[in-house]
Parts: sequence; structure tokens; C-alpha cells
Amino acid sequence: MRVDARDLFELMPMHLCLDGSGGIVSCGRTMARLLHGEGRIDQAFIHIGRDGQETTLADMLARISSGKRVFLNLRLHHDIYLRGHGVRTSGGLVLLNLGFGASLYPAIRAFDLTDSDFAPSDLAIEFLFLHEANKAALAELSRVNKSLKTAREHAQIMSVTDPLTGVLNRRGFDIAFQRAMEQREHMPFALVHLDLDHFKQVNDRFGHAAGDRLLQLAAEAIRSELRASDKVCRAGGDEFLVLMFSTTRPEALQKACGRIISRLETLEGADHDQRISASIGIAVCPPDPAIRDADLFERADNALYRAKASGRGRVVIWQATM
Amino acid sequence: MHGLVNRSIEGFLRASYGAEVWDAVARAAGVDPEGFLTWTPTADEVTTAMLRATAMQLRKSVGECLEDIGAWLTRQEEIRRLLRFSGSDYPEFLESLHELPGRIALVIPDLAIPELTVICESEGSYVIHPAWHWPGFLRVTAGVIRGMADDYGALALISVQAGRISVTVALTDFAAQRRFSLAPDAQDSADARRRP
Repeated sequence: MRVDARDLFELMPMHLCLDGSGGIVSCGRTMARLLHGEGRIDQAFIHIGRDGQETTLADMLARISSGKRVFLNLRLHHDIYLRGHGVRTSGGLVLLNLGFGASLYPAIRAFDLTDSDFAPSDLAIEFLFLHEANKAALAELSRVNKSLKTAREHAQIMSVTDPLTGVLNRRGFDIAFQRAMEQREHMPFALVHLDLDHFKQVNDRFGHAAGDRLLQLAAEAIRSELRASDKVCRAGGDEFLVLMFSTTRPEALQKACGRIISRLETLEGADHDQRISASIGIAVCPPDPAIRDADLFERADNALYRAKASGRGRVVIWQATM
Repeated sequence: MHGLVNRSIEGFLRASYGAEVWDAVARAAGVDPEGFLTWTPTADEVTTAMLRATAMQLRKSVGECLEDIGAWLTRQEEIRRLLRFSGSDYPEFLESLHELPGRIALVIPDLAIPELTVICESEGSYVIHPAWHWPGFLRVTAGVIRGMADDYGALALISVQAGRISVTVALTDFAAQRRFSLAPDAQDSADARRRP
């Protein structure tokens, strides 16, 4: 079988044909652009041996002639490696066919290659197609993930928020309370149970819309009298629960809760015949590991009952002697 | 229908006509105005309802809308690049259309694109037959073929009739073709080099 060198130029655009001493006899169309007019293989390429180091010309030719895989690094473009193998032809020449392997992108950039520079049998274009399609698909998936993440965060916030007042709902409070109980030994806290006084009358007289508006104002007032680290919850109806971490000293608690009550009694934005007040019962969580959640709620509830019984607008802190 | 098909309709409406038009179409078709997030397939009726609502909203026929969607797809840089991999000029692009369904299947195996047969009847005159097709497929494909004629700077007459698309290429160099390089960043650097 004889193949004309001119046919090989088109058929195998990435081939090299060498004489016995490494001189380039002919090459493919794309290879010609890589060679930059060099006449010898060792002038254009560095042969990388099995130890990853440059080898001698004799070693390169021996390896090519034996049909083993060769790795050639372009002297002018250190980021481009060609891989391929060769055969010894009957005329004493060596025919070598090469491809870009993983250096495909640097090669396209360096030599401005187009699809006509690759043989139709070469999978380079398929590789590029897949690579780009993959990138596009990942971009679309990442858009979806971002959007789902935002939706999830939103749903999480909604699931622990009281829709009317924006403070925690009971579910959110229970999560915060659980955490507080776990950390009570190094972060003491007080459980505050607050019940609005005279709210029911306002609600009955002025209707639900006015009642809702009043609850919003009340929640805002309570929140503004507390530290950011304290947790406020609307437990239902006109009942609020607070976890106070800022102080657990009785005098300080009395003072802080007294401020909340005066704030509620002089709500800005409420009509003067919509006056409300509040009764507050407080249970300070002792470091005692034996105390249960229910005990603490019961104590706060008892204290609140005492506050209500002793007249409205009072603050009572639970004590063992009560 | 594959979720990407619905997502394409959504993307087309949002990008070409704005969020309000998309919103109106979504409401009329009974789909979530938030849009399509996953590639999960929906019943074909959902896609059909969206296309009907789109046609009503844009005061065009469903066929015209489908062609516009196809042409819009070719203007999305990622998709345009993928289509340009098919050939160095417009006739070569048309002749290699039969490879496109296979390439799409490499990336999105569950997006069922019918096999395409491309017959060159005479110089510059092509007929494209799909092996089978769902309603509307030919019009979207015709839109893609029209969009790519613009991209390659070719002048072509494209028509859809009786289950096939006919393309007559009048001029291959009617207008300047948009630049394309196999490596996306090489394109930028080549453009930069050309600047004086």
C-alpha cells in the first residue's frame, strides 16, 4: 500500500513523518502550524520520558520506533503536550500520529484552531461540545439551587414566625427554649409570661382589625424594651412569652418588665380609649439540672396568676415560698 | 414534556417581553409564576396551555411563537456556541443537523429529540425530515435554523410544510457572521487583539 504525502497532509492533519535522525520529512496540515517552520522534531518538541524529564533525541526516536506512547511538549508553548504513537514504515521512515489530549484548550487558544483543523474522526469537537454543554447545564442547575435555597430559608423563617406580629410563634419559641435549657449552666435566663390586660374589651368594642393592630403595636413595644439576644414570642391570643438572657437578677427583671408595662400603657398609635396594660409572671431558670421544662412554665404561670390576682399591671417573680 | 422545554418558554417570555408578560401567561396557563425550577417532566397539557396563553398574550399564532422561541434559543450564547460546533459555515451547519440529536442526547439523555434526516436536493436546497415529531417541534426547529442563518450571516428561505422543513440558502455571505472560536475565552482575546 502506498499513500501519497499530500493525501496524508489532509487525512492525518496531526501526523509527523521523520527520517532516521529526527528530520521532518512531511507533516499534516494542523501539525505544520505547530512546527513554526522547524525542520527537526527535537527543535520543535521536548520528549518527556517515563520519569517526567526531558530525554535525548536517540531515546525519543527509539521510543517512537518501538510503537510505544510518546508525550511531546512544544518548546514554544510549555502548556501544550501532544500525545501519540508511531510506526516504522517500509522506506525507513517513522510515521507518528499525535493528538492534543488534555492540552486541547490551550492549543485552540494558542493556534486559533477551528473545527476544520481537526480530522472528522477526531473526538475533539465532541469533547468541546460536551464540556460547554456541561458548563451550561451546571449554570442552570446552580440557578435552580440558589433559588431553592432562598425559598427554603424563607420557608424556615415563616415556619417560626407569628404572621401577625412578626415575633416568634410557639414553634419558634419552643426551639429557642430548648436551646436555652441545654445551655442554662453557662447562660442563665428567665422565662417571662406576659398577658395583656383589657385587650379583650378593646377587641370586643372596636373589632378584630383594631385588636390585630393593637397586638402588632404591643409586640413592637415589648421587643423594643428588650435586648436583641432576648426572644419574644406570641403564644396565642394576647399572651406573650419572653426568654431573657440579659439579666436574671430580681431587681433588674422587675425594672425591665416594669418598663415594658409602662410602655404598653402608653402605646403610641393607639387611641386613648384603647388603653391596655399587662400582667407579668417571671420564673428564673435555676442551674439545677433536675428542673424540667414543664416546671419552669408552671412557675411562670403561677407568678402570672399572682400578678393578676394582686391587681393589673403588676410584675411577680416566682419564689419557692410563694 | 421535559422541564427544559417549559423553562425555555419561560426564559423566552421573561427575556423578550418582561416579567409582567410572563406573569400573565403563567396565570392564564395555571402554572406557578415563580417559574420552572427543576427538569422534572410535566404533562404535555401544561406546555400546550402555556403556548396557547403565550399566543393570546403576544397576539400571534402558536406557530409564530414557536419559531420565535427557536430563534431566541440561538441567541443564548451557550446554546449558540453549541450549535456553532456543528459546522464552519451555514451549509455545513445544515448538513450536520443529523448529528445534533445525538449530541443533545449526550448531554440531556431524557430530552427526546427525534432523529433528523437532511437531504440536499440541489446546491443550497435542503429538506429536513424528522423521524417522528411532537406538535410544534418543526416550528421550533425552523426557528433555530432561521436564527442560525442570521448567526452565520447567511440569507435563507425557510418554510415548514407537511412534516418537513425546507431550507433554500440564497447567499452564504449575506451579512457579517458573528465571531466564533472553539475556546470561549480565545474569542475575547482575539477580539482584544483586533482592536487598534
